[in-house]
Amino acid sequence: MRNNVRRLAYILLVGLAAVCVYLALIPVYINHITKSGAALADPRIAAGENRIQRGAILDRHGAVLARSVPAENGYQREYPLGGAAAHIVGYYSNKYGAAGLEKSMARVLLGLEGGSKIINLRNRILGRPGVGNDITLTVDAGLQQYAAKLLAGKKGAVVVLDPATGEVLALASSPAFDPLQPAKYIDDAEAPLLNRALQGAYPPGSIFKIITAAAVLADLPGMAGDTIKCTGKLTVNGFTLHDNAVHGPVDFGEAFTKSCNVAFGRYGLALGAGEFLKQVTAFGIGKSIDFELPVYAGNITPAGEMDGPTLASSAIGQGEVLVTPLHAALLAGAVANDGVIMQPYLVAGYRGRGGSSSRRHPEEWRRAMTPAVAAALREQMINVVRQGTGRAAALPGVTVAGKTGSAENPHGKSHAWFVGFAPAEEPRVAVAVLLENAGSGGSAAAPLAREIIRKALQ
Amino acid sequence: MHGRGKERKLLLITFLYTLTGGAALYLRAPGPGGLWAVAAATVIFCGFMLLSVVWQRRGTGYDLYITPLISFLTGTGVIFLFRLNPAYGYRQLAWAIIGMAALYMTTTLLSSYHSLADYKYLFALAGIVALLLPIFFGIELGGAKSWLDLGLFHFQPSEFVKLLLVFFLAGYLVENRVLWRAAGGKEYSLPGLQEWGPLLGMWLTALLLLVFQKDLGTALIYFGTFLAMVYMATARLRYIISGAVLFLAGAAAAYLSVGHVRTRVAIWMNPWATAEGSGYQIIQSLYAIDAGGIFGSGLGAGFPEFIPAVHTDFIFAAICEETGLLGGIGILVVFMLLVYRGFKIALIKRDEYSVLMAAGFTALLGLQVFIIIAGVTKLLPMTGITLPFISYGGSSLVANFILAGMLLNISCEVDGA
Ligand SMILES: [Zn+2]
Repeated sequence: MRNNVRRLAYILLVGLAAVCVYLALIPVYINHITKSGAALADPRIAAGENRIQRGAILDRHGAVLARSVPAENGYQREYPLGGAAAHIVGYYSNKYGAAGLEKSMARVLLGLEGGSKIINLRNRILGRPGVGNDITLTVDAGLQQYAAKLLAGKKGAVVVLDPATGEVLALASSPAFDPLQPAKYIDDAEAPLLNRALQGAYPPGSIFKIITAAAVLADLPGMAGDTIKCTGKLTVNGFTLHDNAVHGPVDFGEAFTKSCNVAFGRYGLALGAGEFLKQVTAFGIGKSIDFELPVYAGNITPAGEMDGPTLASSAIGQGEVLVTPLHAALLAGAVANDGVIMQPYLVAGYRGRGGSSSRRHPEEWRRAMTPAVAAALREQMINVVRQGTGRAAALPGVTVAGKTGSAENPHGKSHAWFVGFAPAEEPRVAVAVLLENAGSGGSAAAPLAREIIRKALQ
Repeated sequence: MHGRGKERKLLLITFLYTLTGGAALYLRAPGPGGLWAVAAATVIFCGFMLLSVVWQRRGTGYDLYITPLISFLTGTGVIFLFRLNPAYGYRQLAWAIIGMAALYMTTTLLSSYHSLADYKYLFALAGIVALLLPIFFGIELGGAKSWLDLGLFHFQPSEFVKLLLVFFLAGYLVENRVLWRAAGGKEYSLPGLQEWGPLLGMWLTALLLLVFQKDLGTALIYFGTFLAMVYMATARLRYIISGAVLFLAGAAAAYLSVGHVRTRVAIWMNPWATAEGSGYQIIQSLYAIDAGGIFGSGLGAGFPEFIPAVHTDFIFAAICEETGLLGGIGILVVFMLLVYRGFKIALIKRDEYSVLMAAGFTALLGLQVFIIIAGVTKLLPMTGITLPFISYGGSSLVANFILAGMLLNISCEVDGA
C-alpha cells in the first residue's frame, strides 16, 4: 500500500507542477490568439486607458482641441472643435478603435512615452491613475475652424503650412465627422472618415506644371526663351492632348500664366522621361513622408513605362500622376522657401505633468530645386495671380503667388486646385486647396484660397 | 511535550504576508474594507496562534506545517475577497472563524478516529441522503442544484459528503481488501457483487450528482478520489481501468444527453466561438492571467471584476492577474506543500486505515485543486468547484478545515491504536 500511496503522491505533485508550467504558457497562447484576430477585445485594455487621464491636444496658442474630463468610471474625451479638427485629432473609441493623433500619439497621450518615469512609478505604487502628456500642435485653431467652415458642404481639403518651417497651420478635410461618434460614419458613401488632405489621391492637373517648369528652367534654359505655337491640341504618337483654349504663340511665361497644356506637353517631351522624373522625384512625389498621420506617398509612372503620350500627360499633371493636398502644399512651399521642402509636421511638442517637455525643431525634407529656379518660378506664380488663371486669389495689399489646376478625372467634373503662398516677397504661408469635381481651379478653388490666405496673414 | 515554536514562526511569516496584503488594500483605497482586511489577517493569525498554544499545552504532536499552510491559503482568500467585494470578505472571515472552531472540534472530538471505521455504512447512508436532499429541496446557484437554503446561509451538502466518502472508503477498503485481492487473483472468475458493488455504487453516485445536481466538478472529484483510494488500497489495474472506462462511458452518455455537459465541452474546445456568450467567462479568466504577467498588476490594480463568478470558481485567475505568474505559482506551490505534507503524514503511519484515510483526504484535496485550476486555465473543461481554502463559500471552507483537522489527528495518533 505504501508504494501505491507514494506513486499517487508523485502523480498528483507532477500534475500540479505541470499546471505551473502550463500557467506560464498562457500568455503565449493569448498572444497567438490575438494575433490570429479571432479574439474578443480585452476590456482590460480600454478600462486601463480610461483610468489614465489622457493628455490634452492643444493648438499652437494653447486652445483645446481635445481633453479628458472626469466622468463615471474614469475619464471622458471632449472635442471642443467638433468636426472642424476631427481629421487631425481623430477619435478614440473602445469599440471602434482610434484614428488620427489620438491613435498615432496614443503612447504619449497616455503617458507611456515621454512622461516622467519616476512620477509614473509613484502613481503605480500609490494606485493613483496615471496622467498623460499634453500635446501642442503647430495648428492654429482659428484658422483650422475657418478652413473647415469654408469647406462645409463641399468635398475637398485645405492644407496651410509655414513653408519656412514645415509647421502645418491648418489641415481640413470635408465632409467632416463627429469625433465622439465615429461609428455613425463608417458606412457613409461620402467617406467622411477619410482624411482627404493626407489620404486623398488626386490627379494634380496643372499645379503639376510647377514641377515641369522647374525642370525646364533647370535643364532647358534655351527652351524657356522659345515661343511655342498653341493650336489647342497636341498629338503624340496618335494620342491627342487637349488644351483648355487655343493660346496661339506663347513663350514660357505666358504658357505658365495661361496654363497652356500644349506648351507644357511639349516641354515634357523635350525634357525626356529621365530629366522629368528626376525633377518629380526631387519634389518627393512617390516618396513616403514621415508625418504624425499616415500620408499617401503619391504616384508617378515609372521610367520604364513612361512612353511619349504618358510623358506629355504627366507633364501637365494628368496621366497616372496622383498627389495629396498636403503634397500640393509642399510644391508651393518649395517655391516659397527657395527650393527647399521642409519636413511637414503637426506636433510641435509635448509637456508632461511632471514638468518634462519636448519640442520639435524644423528640419529640411529635401531640396526640390536651386534657389535661382525657385526665384524664377516665384515670379511666374506671382503673374498667375496678377494676370493669369489665378486672378481670383489676389488680395489687396498682399502679393499672392499661386498656380491653379483643373484636374480631369473619371468621376465627373474636374477637381479644382489652387496652390500658392503669400506674401510672395517674404512667404509666411503656403496653401493648397482642393475641391472635388468643382470645375476650374481658377473659379472654384482660388477664391477659397484667397480667404484662407487673408485669414492666415491676419 | 512537543515544541510548536516552528509552527508559530511559520504562522508569523504567513501573517506578515497577509498583513501586507491588507495594508496594501488600505493604502490604495483607505476605508473600512482595507481596515477589515487587516483585521481579518490578524484574526486568522491569532486564531491559529491560539490553537498552536493550546496544542502545545496539551502536548499533542500534530504536524507543524499544516496550519501555517492553510492559514496562508485562507488568509490569501479572505484578503482577495475583501479586495473583490468587502461584502464577501466579511462573510468569509466569519466562516474562517467557524472553520477554525470546526478544526478545533475535529481535533478534540475525532482524535480517536479509528472507531469511525465501525460506522462506515452509516456514513455511506448519510452521504447518500445528504446528496439526495438538494435534488428534492435544493436550489440552484451558479448552475448547480446542489444547495440547501437554510435561511441565514446556503449550505452545500456535497462539500461535507466528500469527507464522508473518505471516511467510508477508508473503512470499507481496509476491511475488504484481502477479499478483493483474492478475487482478482482467480482467472475467469465471475466478478461478484462484493467486488463490483462499490464501483457501481460510486459510479451511480457520481452520475446522480452529474445529472440531478448538474455538478460536474463534484462528480469528477468523487469518482477521482474513489479511484485513487481503490488504487492505493489494491493497486488492481483491472479495477482502475474498469472504473475509468465506466467513468468515460458515463461521461460520454452525459455528453450526449445532458445539455450543460455538452456546453462545457464546447466552451473548452473553442471559447472564442461564443466569446460574447458562454465562452466569455473562460476568456476573461485567460485574459486576466495574461494581463498579470510575471509580477502582476498589484493588489487592487487589476480588473478581475471582468470575470463572472470571480469570487468563487475563478478566484485563482484574479490572484494571477494581481500577483502575477509568481503569485499564481506561489499558491500552487503552497498547495503542493500541503499535498506533500498530507502524503507524508500518510506514509509515517503503520496501520493501513490511517494511511488510507490520510492519503484519501490528501488526494481529494490535490484533485480538487488540480481540477479547478485546470478548469480556469482551460487545461480541462471548466467544472465549477471551489478552490480549497481560498474561494468564497462557507460549506467549502468549513469542510476543508475539518479535512485539515483530520490530517492533524492522523499525524499525531499513536501508531497501532
Ligand atoms: Zn495652349
